[in-house]
Parts: sequence; C-alpha cells; structure tokens
Amino acid sequence: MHKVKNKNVIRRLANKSFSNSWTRNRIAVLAIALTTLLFTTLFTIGLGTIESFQYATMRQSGGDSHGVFKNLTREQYDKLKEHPSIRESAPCIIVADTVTNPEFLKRHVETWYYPTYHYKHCFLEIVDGEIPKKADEILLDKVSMELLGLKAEAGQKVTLEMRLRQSSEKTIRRTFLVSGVLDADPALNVGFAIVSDAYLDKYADELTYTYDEDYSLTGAIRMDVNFANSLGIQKKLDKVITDCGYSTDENQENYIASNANWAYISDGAEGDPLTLAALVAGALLIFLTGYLIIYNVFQISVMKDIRYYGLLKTVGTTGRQVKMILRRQALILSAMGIPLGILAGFFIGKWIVPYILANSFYQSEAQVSFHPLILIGSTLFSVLTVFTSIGKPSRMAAKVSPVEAVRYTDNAQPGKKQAKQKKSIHGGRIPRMALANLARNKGRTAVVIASLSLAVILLNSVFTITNSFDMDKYLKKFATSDFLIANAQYFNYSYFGATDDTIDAENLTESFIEACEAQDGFEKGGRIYGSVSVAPEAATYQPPEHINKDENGIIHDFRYGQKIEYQPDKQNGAYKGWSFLYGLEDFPLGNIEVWQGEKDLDVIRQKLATGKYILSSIDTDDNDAPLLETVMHRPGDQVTLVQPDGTKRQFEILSLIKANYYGISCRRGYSFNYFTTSDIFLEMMSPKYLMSYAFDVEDAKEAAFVQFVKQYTDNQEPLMSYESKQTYLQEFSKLTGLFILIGGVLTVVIGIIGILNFTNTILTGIVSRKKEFAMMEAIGMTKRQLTRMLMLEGLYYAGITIAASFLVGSLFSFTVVRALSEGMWFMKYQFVLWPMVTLFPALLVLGALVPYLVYLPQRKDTLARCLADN
Amino acid sequence: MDILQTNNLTKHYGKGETMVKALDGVNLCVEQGSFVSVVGTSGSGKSTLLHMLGGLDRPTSGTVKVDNRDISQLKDEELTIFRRRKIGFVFQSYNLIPVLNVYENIVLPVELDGRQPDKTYVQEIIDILGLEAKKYRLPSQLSGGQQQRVAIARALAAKPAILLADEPTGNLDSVTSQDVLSLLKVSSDRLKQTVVMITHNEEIAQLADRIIRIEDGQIKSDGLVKDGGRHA
Repeated sequence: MHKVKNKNVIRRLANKSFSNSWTRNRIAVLAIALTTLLFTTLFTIGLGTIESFQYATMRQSGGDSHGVFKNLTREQYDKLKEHPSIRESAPCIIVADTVTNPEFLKRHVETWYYPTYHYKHCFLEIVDGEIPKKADEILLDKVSMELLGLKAEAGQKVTLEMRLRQSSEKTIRRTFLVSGVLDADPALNVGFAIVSDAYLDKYADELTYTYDEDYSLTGAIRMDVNFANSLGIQKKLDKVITDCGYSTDENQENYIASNANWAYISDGAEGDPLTLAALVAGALLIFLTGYLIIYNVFQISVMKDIRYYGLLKTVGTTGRQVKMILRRQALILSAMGIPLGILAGFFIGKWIVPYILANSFYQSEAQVSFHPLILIGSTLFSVLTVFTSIGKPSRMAAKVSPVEAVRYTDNAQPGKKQAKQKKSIHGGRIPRMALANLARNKGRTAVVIASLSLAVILLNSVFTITNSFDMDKYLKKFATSDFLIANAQYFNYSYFGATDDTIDAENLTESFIEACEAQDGFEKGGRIYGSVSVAPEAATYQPPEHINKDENGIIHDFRYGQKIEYQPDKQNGAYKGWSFLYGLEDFPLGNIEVWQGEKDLDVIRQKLATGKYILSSIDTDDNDAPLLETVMHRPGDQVTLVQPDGTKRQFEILSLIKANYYGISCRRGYSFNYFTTSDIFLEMMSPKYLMSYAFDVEDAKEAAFVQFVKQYTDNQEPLMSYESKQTYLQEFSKLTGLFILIGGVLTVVIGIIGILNFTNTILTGIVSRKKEFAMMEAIGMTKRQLTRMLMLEGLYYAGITIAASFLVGSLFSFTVVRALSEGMWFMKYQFVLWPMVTLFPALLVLGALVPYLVYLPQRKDTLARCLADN
Repeated sequence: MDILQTNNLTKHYGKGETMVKALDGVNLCVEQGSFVSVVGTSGSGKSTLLHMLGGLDRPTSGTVKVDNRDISQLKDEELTIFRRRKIGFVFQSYNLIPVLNVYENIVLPVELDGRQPDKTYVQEIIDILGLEAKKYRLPSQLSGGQQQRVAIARALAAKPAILLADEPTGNLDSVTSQDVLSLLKVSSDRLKQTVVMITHNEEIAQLADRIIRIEDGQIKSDGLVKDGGRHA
C-alpha cells in the first residue's frame, strides 16, 4: 500500500464538519468532561487515600525520610554520608536520654538536635516564634508547654530536668528560652524539645558516644537519608553499609543498624482485594455510563450527517478516511472535555477524601496532592471510553454507500406486518404517534433508557446498602457499656499492655472515675484492671490438640494466617509477653458471654472469688463465631500463673468466654487471656494496673454526659480519653454518610449524564423532524398538539425507564447488591425500592419538561421557512 | 361565488437594498369548484403566493380571504385550526407521517380537529384514488405515485374549502404524473372541490380550467383554458 498525502484534506474536512455541529459538540464535550470527572474523582480518591495513609504513617514514624541508620558515631556518619546513592542526609542527635520533669510523666518529652534544613522532613512546624540559634534556646511543642502550665507562646523560660544517661541517676536542670512553639502531632503521644547548633557545640563534652558501652542514645547519631526514589529502600541501606566497609550482621563488631521508613513499605491498596474490586467496579460503571452517552451523541450525529458522508464517499473518500474524520473530531472534543473533567474531578475527589479518612483508623488530616497518575489515568481511561464509544458510529459512517445514504431516514422498518388496526378513538392518534416515534430507532431509545436507568438503579443500590447497615449489630460489637474511659494511650493503639515500665504513662486515674461517678446521671460501672506481666508457666501448661510442639518442646500455633511460636521467658519460665491477666469488677464481669464451661453468672462470681478458678477466652470472627484455633485452654484444665516477682499461683479454668475486643480487652490481641475478679487481681498485682472503667448512665442524660466527659478530658485531665455509645453512633453515621456521599456524587453525575443523553436525543429528534412538524402543522396539527405529542414522547421515555429500573433494579438488588450488603458483619440485607420510587415522579416531570423546554424556542420558526428548509 | 380572494397581496423579504419583493400587489379571485393553475419560473413568487393562500405565512400587506374569512388577521393557533378545516395541502414531497398507515394518514387532519371522520366520504375518496388495497400499508411501503395519491386523499378528507397543491408531480415521472393529476382532476370534479395548483410545467398547467401566470411577484396573465379538463 502506498502512502498518499491526504492528511491535510482529511484534517480540513474534519474541522469544517466539526464546526458545523455546535449542539453536538457542546453536548459531547460536556459528556466527555463528566466522564473524565468521574474517572478523576475515582483516581483522586484512590490515590489520595493511599497518600493520606502514607502521610499518617510517616507522621507516626517521625519523618518522611526513606530510611535511617541508627546509633552512629560521628566518624561513621561522615563516612556514610559520602555514599553516592544518598541524595540527602541529616544527623539527628538525642541530647538527653530522658526528661524527668514530673509534668512529663505521662507524656514524655524527647530532646533532639535536628539540622534546621531537616525540620520539614520531620514535620516540625513552628506555630509561634523562630528557629533556636543560641545554646539556651529551644523549640518546644504546644502540648508540652501546656503541661508545664504555660501558654503556647514563644519567649518564655522553661526548665528541663535532663537525665543524660539512662545508666546514671544524674540529672541536670537546665533553663531554656523557648524561641519557638511547635505544633503538636495528635498522632503521637510524645513531646519534642529541639536544641540549636550552638547547643551541640557548647555541650560537646557531654554528648560523647557511649552507645557501645551502655546503650545510651545520647550523643549517638541517627542519620535520616533520602535516596533517588523509594524503591527497595532496605536493599539500598544495606548496600551503603557494606560499601562503606561496615556490616549488616548484628553479631559483627562493625554492625550498623538501619531500617526503611515503614510508610514506604506498606502501600494501602495492595493486598486489599475489596478496595481493588470496588475501584474496578467503579471504573467499569463509569466506562459504561460514558459509553452510553458518547456513543449516542456520535450515533445521532452520524445519522444526521449520513448524506454528507455518502457524498464524501461519492466523491472518493474511503471508509478509512471517513473514520479518520470522525476520530479527529472525537480527539478535538476530548481535548476540550478532558481537562475540564480532570480539574473538576480532582477537586471533588479532594473534597471526599477527608470523609473516607474519618472512617479509618488513621485520624489524620487528608493529604491529597495532584499526582501525575491522576492525570495520566483519567486521560487514558477517558480517551479509551471515547474511542470505544465512537467505534460503531464511525464504522456505520464508513460503511455507508452513497446511494443508501440519500435514502436513509429514521423510519419505522418497512416490511413488517402491521398490527391489527384499532378502531380510532377520539384524539387517540397523538399518543400512538408519540409511541411510534420512540420505535423509529429502538437502539437509540434503549441507550437513552439504559442511561437514565443506570442512575436510578445506582441510587437505589446505594440506599439499599446503607439501609442494610444494622446499627444494633454494629453497636453490640463496639459498645458493651454506655461509656468506657481509659488513658488516651489505651485508645491510641499504642497501649503496650501495662508492664512495670510503662504503666504510669498508660493507666487510668482514679480521679477521673470519681469525677464520672459524681456526675449527674451516672448509673453503675466497674473497673477493669489488666497486666501483661502475669503469664502461664510453660512447664505445666497443657496445650489443646491443635497446638503443636517441636523437638525442643517449643509450642506454636497458627492464628490469623500467621505462625506464632511461644518462647518461654528465660528468667521465670512463663509465656511472658503472650499473656494478659484481667481483673474485673462486678459490672464488667456481668457483661461476659460464656462459650464453654460454667454459664451461670452467679456461680462464676462465687467460684472466681475463691481464687481457685479463672476464666479464659476464645477469639471470635466478625460474625461472632468462635475461632477454634484460638483456644488455649479447655474448661477444667489446670494452669499455673507466674507473677512478675516469681510467685506462682494455680487456677482451674472454669469457662471459656468470647473475647470482647472493645469492651473487656487491652486491644492488643494476646494469645493467653485470663479473667478473674478485681479482688483476686489486686492480691497479685498493684492497683496502679487500672486499665479502664466501664459504666452506664441514664438514657436521658447520655448526651449531657458525653459533654461532661469531653469537657473533662479536654480540660481537667487531657491525657485521659473515652469512648461512648455516642462515639460509635457517630462513627456509624459517618460510615453511612460516607456511602451516601460517594454514592450520591456518583448518582448525581451519572444522573446528569443520563439527563444530558435524554435531552440530546429529544433535541436532535425535534431538530431533525422540523420539516415533518411543519408539514403536520400545514395539514392542521396545532403547536399545542405538537407539544403534547413531544411531551408524551418524553413521558414514554420516563415510563419505560421506570419499568426498566423497576425490573432490572429489583433483579440487581436481589443478586449483586444483596451480595454486597451481606459483605460486612454489621450488614443485614433488606430489599428496598423507596429510593427508586421517590425518583419516579421526578423522572416523569423531567420526561414532560425536557421536550417542552427544548421545543419552546423552535415554535417561533415560521412554517414557510421550515417547509422550505430541505 | 368566490371562495378565495386576495386584495393587493404583498410579501417582502428582507430590508433596504437586499429587499426582495416576492409578491407585489396581487389581486386574485377563485370561484368555488374551479381548478386553477398558477405557473411561473422559479423565483417568480408562486410558492410564496401558495404559502399566503394556505395561511402558512403572513403577508407584509394586503389580505387573503378564504371562504369569506380574512385569514391574515388570525392568530397562529386559530390559523392552524382554520387550515385543517378549510385548506387541504398536497406537497411535492408527499409528506406523509411515516409511522401512520395510509388510512390513518388520510383521516389525521380530521382527527386532529377532534372530529370523527365521515366514513362514507373517506371511503369514496379512497375508491376514487384507488387506494383500497393499500389502506393499511405504511408510507414507506408505497411507490411515489401511491404516496402522492394518499396525500391527495388526506387533503380531501377534511372537505376543505380549497385544496392547494404545490408542484404535486415534481417528484414523479411523466406517466405517473399524468396518472396522479387525472385523479386530482377527477376527484375535484366529482367532489366539487376548488383546487389551486402551482407548477412550472406548462403541459401540466393545461389540465386546469384557468391558468394564472405570475412573474416577479405580479400576475402577468389570467385566462380560461378552452378545453380545460377534457384531457383526462
């Protein structure tokens, strides 16, 4: 095949016929823009959520650097930083192991030196004042200042009690001028004091490297590094270490510890098939929506211009060239529509992401930046949709023979047997004409109806799903009591289960309990004590059948897809670190749910009180079914618990209860769990192991009580926190709101597309029949009768859409939506049609109104002109 | 009795230099029951005249009286209603409603008027025009001549005061043209129907009782055809 230079001709033809069809162009651009908008919103939500999760993880990990080398000497640092793969590095130095001011007992303050250029990588944001320059100037975070009883303003003096080395009791009292106040990160329960370069110089002799001797971090360098990209960070870190002549082997003399920032290791979308499936389904839905309208727009335009294409064929344009003309037009339309859609879509997405985050574990601010993937992805998908959509119309235009084109009109098919003639009734002809007009092009009618029905069915599905959210089921899992109060750490997912080292920073205060008990509306409550320091003795442990033992006598089991090996503690021979002991007062004890063994609560209370019996638990899945692989004891088994001081105490397992993750647990999922009364617990452990306090209040005073607890934890004891039934109710409505928000946006846009499609069809139907209408007017059809006929046409569209939505929507509801509605444990599928039914009147109004409005400007044309227009 | 009268009928398009005088003071009377041809070249104003006579367009000045009613004074809606009662149209391009069958097309103007069609009268028309066998066909299943016969039947069905035909045979070959025209002639004779037909074809014009020649928007000649109607 030889090449012919005809590009220019084709381009000219395409451009000319392009500017000839303004109505089509405007509708097509709008359709493409809306389709792109949907794609962009989808991508922005997807990527924005991942980005925000990543950002939240970074904040928790303390920075956005790719990785870190730990505990370096100055010499090691100088060597490593020269490595060619390192783009950026910063020496970060702790200047005291701990700060021992009593105000910081519950919320520790770390004293760091960071190079000023590194501040932004560590999310250090100065809200008042400036960077410290002198040796006695520091930055201090807002909350720490408040804990010291100061206002969060720069220019004040603070005295820090700095214990330089963990190994020595010596503390230095040093007074600083707060040169700047840092924003405190709610994600972290740690405060920061940041010193200047001058400080390092002044106290250089104090900051010697002793990590190799006493594991003191003071004076050791933590080196934050950035590479060219975030791929394979650990490998790059290892390479830097070995290249510089150090070892990555812990047992070697020249070992250097390093690790990659976990924010870069885990990426949200991966390994979450549900999210991925939702994204794919969303993309498919958008594709279908876009296809329906863009296809229809082009199909109509090609049919209208069919004579023109026939003419082109007559004068020698090939089918391929006709296709090229159309493709070029589609390209121009895409070039106009896609940027519009991306812009609008991005901002809608950005608006939605915070709502999604609010429903996740990460209570962090949304972080949505314009990722190139959004641009590329949306453009690609939109172009794909456009070109798929114009495939059939352009094939039709390319295939048309010159002769056919002249004869081609939108007529009812000839040759079909006429239905039996009905006796004509007074004026009954107009409805029949309207209906027959719909049948002129059944394909187009079907496309418009599908396009409209899509929005209706989608809306119904969204509401069916949200309607299936069962609030009682949801609340039952989360809230055993009206309130649960505890240290903020407990709710912060950083509660390590109360060991002697940490308990002072993570226990509940008696003062908070007293305040609650004294508050009006309080009914009843009870303390829950807990400690990780009590564990079963390995030697006397009697494992159930599913627990295996290797040749060394080490037991292991598999839970949640992971193999867990239980290594007994070297000192006391107990499974320390795998076990948790709870001491329950009467109120929480009354909330237990027995699975096996003694079920009578009174008997349980009595027997536990003897100190000879104890309860153990089994985990349950989301649907409250016991997970048999988590059984560690059977009722009747004997177990010996070892206390931190080495004292042993023997119990008989009385019953197995179902674990209550949100009500009676430390929320960390240990394998061995034991429950006894608070009295027995206190015989074994100190009362400072007070974990939480559960209580009920009078229903009428619940809202006021929430206010009280909120005020109290904000002002009186900011380190305490709470959860209430109300909290979960809010969570629940947030979740419902999220679904409605996303579903609503989707429905609205798809609805607009459907209406656009409908309007376009009606509009072209009227414009192309102008002459026919004029002729009918000539023979005596009044404009009112014509308008009535057109409105009837619209009503038929609406009517068929209603019927189709009703049938397909019900079917869809019983199959796909049902499956989705039973996807989560707190969902209960219910067949609902009311969301759809409420739309029906709107559809009917729309069906009548659109043709009326579209025909309105056409009514002014004089008859003679319309008749002359050929 | 004159069923149709125009008085100084004028129609101008455009303004100033580009103004076109499509009709320029036309005075015309048509007697009840007569068959009149209006001939002229293209651009002579004959189509404009027909549009004015049929109330499809409004004159710039002058009046059109159909059945003693001045239609230039009627409102749009009234005009349409007047049209479907008093005026029948036959167009060059048949203009049948594609989704209605032959019978439905014929009775459509009557039904649009909210009346019951006069069945014996309609049947008579159908018989005269030889459409009995095609009664339930769709327009797309008919030949051009057949479609034009349906259009004539439709125009007659409402028993209009006048039947206006605009180049009724323009799309037909000469044999079919003769056929259609003679049917038009026969039915107008039998039903005492006034017909005004526009054509540029002299030979076809000769079928009428009277020929009016129009040129540059003015009547140039107006005369009876001696053997008018005897061709058929």
